[in-house]
Amino acid sequence: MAIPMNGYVGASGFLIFVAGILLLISTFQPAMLSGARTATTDALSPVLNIVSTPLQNAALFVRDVTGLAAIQAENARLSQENVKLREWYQTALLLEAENKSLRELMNVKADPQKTFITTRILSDSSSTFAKSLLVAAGSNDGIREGQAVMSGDGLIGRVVETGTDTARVLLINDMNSRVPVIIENTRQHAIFAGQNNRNGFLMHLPPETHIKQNVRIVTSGVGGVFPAGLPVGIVKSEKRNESNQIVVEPFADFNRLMHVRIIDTPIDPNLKRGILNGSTRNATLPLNNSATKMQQVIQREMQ
Amino acid sequence: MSQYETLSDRLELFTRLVIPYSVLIIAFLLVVVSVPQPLGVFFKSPLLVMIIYYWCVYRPSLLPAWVVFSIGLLFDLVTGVPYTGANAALFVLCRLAVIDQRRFLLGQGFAMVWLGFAIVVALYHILQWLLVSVLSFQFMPFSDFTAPLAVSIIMFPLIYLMLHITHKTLPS
Repeated sequence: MAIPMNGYVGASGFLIFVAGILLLISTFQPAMLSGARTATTDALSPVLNIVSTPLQNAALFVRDVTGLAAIQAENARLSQENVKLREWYQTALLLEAENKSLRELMNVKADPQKTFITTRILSDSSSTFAKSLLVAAGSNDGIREGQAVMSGDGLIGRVVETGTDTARVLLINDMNSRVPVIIENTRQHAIFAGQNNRNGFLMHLPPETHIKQNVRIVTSGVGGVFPAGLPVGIVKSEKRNESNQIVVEPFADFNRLMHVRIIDTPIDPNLKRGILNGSTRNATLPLNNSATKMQQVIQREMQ
Repeated sequence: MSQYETLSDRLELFTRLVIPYSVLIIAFLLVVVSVPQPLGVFFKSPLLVMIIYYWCVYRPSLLPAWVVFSIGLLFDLVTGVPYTGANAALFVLCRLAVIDQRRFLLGQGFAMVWLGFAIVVALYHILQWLLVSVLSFQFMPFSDFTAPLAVSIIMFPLIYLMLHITHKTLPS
């Protein structure tokens, strides 16, 4: 394609050169542009707030209207599930009471209570090569970098950038995301890695590990970024894919999100007590060798 | 002697010029805000490429290179893509390609303009894929780009019609 060399091309060439420099900075020194990003999103957040509310309501309306036929079937399924859950609820109450009593007997230090900040999603990265969200809460609301973010169904990501009124959440299906997880029935540690589409896969899994289909994957808490026990997803198939990976389908439906819960985990008082007593080593000692190895892997991955 | 001498004439000119820029700003906001499915699929298409394409064919003076660059950069900053500047560069390149072929496109019917858009938006996605693959040191699956590409080509006539109506309000 022949492009005429005139003033327009000169100006365009200069702008492409500037964009190239920005690209290099954002690739090799991403923190340098963090201030510009948060300042822009903070400045635009009131407008985004106004525009996104009616659109999100319209999307909900369309979803409700087009899904009327499915609602009846869903209602029948939920009624059945509700009966089962009522039985589970009674069992859970019994177990909770038993657990509490045993903890008191054994003088177990309880984990600190988590609190949530619920906020609305303002914007999401529409590109196929990045998966992140912009939420309408920032450092003014107590949001800090590293906090885990949940939807109603499961873990969706963690806060990676905070402005005063907005925060950016890196989704767990982004190819740069790594989440330390545990396979619920085997207690095998692994890392859930995103691959920029709906599903993720498990990394650092011993080759001989056999995992059954539909097994739950939850956060392990190793590394200290994500609290332990947050639901991440289920194993989609016990067979490995063509890249020899175990594929995990996240519980959260990233295409239907409107609100998220940001987990505000206070500093563990037990850990603090351990540090004050000079016994930090005991307080933070991982439970087994598998966890220790995983801790080392996570430290490498997070760097 | 200027055609717009009186205050009311100038006000009319200003109002007419405001319309295309308002459409651009609204499109920008629609693209960056979070809209859940099923509506989300329409807003996640490259609406901005459609608008850049239309104005670069029919009224390039409305979208100078710096405006296109600024939209791309603002888009990168708000959406938080890891490669800030990628869309700024790609939008400017799209503008250059369209302006180069605008004399040919101006004399064609809608079908050829549509085909032209399909080529430009495909180039945009291919370049985006190449850029991300090179900068992330791994080949991204190109299949991820096919859905937004198809949606944008299907949606183009609708956006074209809307922009055509806006175009009619502009002074000649």
